[in-house]
Amino acid sequence: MRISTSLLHQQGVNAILDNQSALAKTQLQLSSGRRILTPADDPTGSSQAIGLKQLLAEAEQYGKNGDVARSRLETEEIALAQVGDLLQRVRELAVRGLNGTLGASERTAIALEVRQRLEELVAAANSQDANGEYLFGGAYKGAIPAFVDNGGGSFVYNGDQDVRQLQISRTRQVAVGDHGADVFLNIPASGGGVQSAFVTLDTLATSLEANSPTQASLTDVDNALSNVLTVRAKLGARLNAIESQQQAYQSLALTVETQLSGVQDLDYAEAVSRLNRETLALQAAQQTYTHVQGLSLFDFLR
Amino acid sequence: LGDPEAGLMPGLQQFFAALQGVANDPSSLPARQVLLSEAEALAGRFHYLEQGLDDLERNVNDLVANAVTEVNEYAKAIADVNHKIVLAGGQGAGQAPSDLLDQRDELVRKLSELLSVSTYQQDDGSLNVFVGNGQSLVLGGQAQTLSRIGNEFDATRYEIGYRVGTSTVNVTNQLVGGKLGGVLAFRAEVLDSAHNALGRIALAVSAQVNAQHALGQDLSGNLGGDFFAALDSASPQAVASALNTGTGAIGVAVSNPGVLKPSDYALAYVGGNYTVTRLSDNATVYSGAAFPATLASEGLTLSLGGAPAAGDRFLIRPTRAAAADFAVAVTDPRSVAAAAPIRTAATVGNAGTGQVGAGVVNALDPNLQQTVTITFNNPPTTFNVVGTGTGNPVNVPYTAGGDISYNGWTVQIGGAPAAGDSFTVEANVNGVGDNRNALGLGALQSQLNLDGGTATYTDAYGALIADVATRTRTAEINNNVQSSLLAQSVAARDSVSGVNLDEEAANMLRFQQAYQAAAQMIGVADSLFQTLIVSLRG
Repeated sequence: MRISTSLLHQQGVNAILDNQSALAKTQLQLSSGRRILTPADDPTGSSQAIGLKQLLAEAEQYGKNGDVARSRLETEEIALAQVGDLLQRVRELAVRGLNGTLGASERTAIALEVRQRLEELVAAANSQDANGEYLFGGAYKGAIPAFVDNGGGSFVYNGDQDVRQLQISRTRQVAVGDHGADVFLNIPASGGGVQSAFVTLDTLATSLEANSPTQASLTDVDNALSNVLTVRAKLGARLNAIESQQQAYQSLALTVETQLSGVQDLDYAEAVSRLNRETLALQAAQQTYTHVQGLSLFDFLR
Repeated sequence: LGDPEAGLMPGLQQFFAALQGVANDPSSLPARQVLLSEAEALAGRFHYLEQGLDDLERNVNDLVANAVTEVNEYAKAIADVNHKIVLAGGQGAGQAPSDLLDQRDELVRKLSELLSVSTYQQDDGSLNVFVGNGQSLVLGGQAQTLSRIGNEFDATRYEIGYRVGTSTVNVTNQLVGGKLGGVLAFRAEVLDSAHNALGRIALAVSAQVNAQHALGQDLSGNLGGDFFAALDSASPQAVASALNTGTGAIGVAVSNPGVLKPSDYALAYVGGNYTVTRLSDNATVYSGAAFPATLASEGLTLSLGGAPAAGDRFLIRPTRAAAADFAVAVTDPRSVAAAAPIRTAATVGNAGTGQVGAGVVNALDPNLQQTVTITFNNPPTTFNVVGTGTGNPVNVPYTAGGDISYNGWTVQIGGAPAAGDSFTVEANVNGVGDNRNALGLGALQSQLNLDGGTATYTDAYGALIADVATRTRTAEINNNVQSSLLAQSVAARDSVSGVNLDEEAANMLRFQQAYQAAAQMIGVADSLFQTLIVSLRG
């Protein structure tokens, strides 16, 4: 077959151009670290990468939500620990007040401390977080505190019974608080029904001031204390749940990242050896071109 | 489109991450401001991608306009050369005018770079050129012209007309191959579907976020309105063909974005019947004498004004403009409805273990926020309900954990309530720390909200990328195949008509030697003559 000179030229140039574009692509891959430069390089891979990235972003977001949930629960834990210590002290005072050898003045002195502790309890119940929200006020936020002591043994709860839930996985929400009704109000009373922790302390102080403490008031303090402990136990369980969920997401994120890297990241060893191969091919194409172009019968005619 | 930094994915992800931020801290104004900024960024992302597609569309228009001009010029030039060739054939006594033939071959080759042509050589030496389905472009010395016309539904979309007598016929769909066929196919197959797929995501995101947002309550205690600009009835377009003779006008709205398909529809009124065809797969979705007011399977509702004439056609584009129209409606961070408008409470002092859930808002009932009290009877196997809008039913049987629904909300009461225990559902006054609606909004990200409950927004976007990528890849493969075919054809052509310099050099040497031999002969003859003449003289 006759090979026309222009075709011979064209083929040589085409070979060089083809090699150059392959080389340019490999170079771009190497410099960006990405195996898929445009979705057309690997349609399945690129849509798979979108799904994996979404999964990864979700895992990250739920991990962050878990952090927020944990920090809120830890803040609540501190407030509850304070309330627990305080009620423990009140219990000691109640036991001491029941001691038959005590006189009226000593009981008045104890009552004075119980009143102090009551103020402290109201303050603890009104604990606020960084945004000024009441830890035990549900979703309530306002100028008037969640718990108000109206005097004379009357206490008002301004909060509601909302418990904030945070999304810590696609399907799982965790409560990041307890409303005031559960912590301070709904406490079984020794005489039946329910009685708030504030009323319990107020009754105790009043009975001590009257120099006639009752066994029932000690039982009520015990009930308030055990209620706080129950809430704390539930809170601990939630913290554990968040922890295990976060660990699950960490290992998921690792797996997904590995998969994603396999889909979209460049295998450098392979790419570098490809770069070398392509460079060699380009050099060969260039050299053969100049070599072949040097061959002309006219050269021998001079 | 698929760029990890510039595509739609990061915009969607950051928007939903900001929603989670609001859910984590519903009373924080900075978190709400971040949400609004991310929503704006998402809108910007939609606009940017749409802009890119629009630019491509304009490019296609320019290419079509230029190609039509070029085709006409080549056609005219070929006709001229044809004329000259016929003349030369008459004068040149059988000698082929090779220069003119070469010139015409080159013109035809250039023309076929623009679009597929077929040629037919006539006896007088002139060449007829046909395009499309046999429309003649050049007949002997006469050239027909193609013209640039507007699409019957969209005058700004250039198509190609062919003049027959006094009327112009649209031949766009018949022109294939070449640069022109390529851009037309690109517009029909890739650009239109990308437009619609992107628009569908925009429409679904805005409609579904709005639906959930409307069920919430903002920081000021008002019910949440639209979060994004409502697109479901504003954005879909229905265009009447410019060729319609009736007065019919069609309105279109999206009724269910969850089943919406990324496609345009054609509505035709023929023989007293309306036919609706989905253009992405040419499926007939409706056919009948009554006007299709609802297309439930496509998530669309249609309305008709005026009276269409027989043969009138309409183009329905539900999602085409949605990405461009996508906008954020909320401007005040306080207006983000993160809270639920109702709250539930168990009465303090309840004796039983009954607990009430937080409740879910299903619909915007006018009595949604009325205080409703649920009180258990003795024995506590039934309860009475008191509250405006409930009808105050008595002795409703109690099932632990069962749904109790009134006034547009649903709550569950679990456990064992005692006789006399009561629960209330009421307006969420001062409920600024409530994040229930924000959680509902955040959940949209991973819900299967599209394609009839089979795809998330991300899946839909992934499908768009995969679709465009596969078409590109197919085009690349076809391109490679066609290139090697072309290379083989060129090699074959050149082996017949090409010039090899070495061969020519060899030929030249051969001729040179023959010449030298001939010259030698003359030299010998000359010397013989000389010898003869000299000897005769002597």
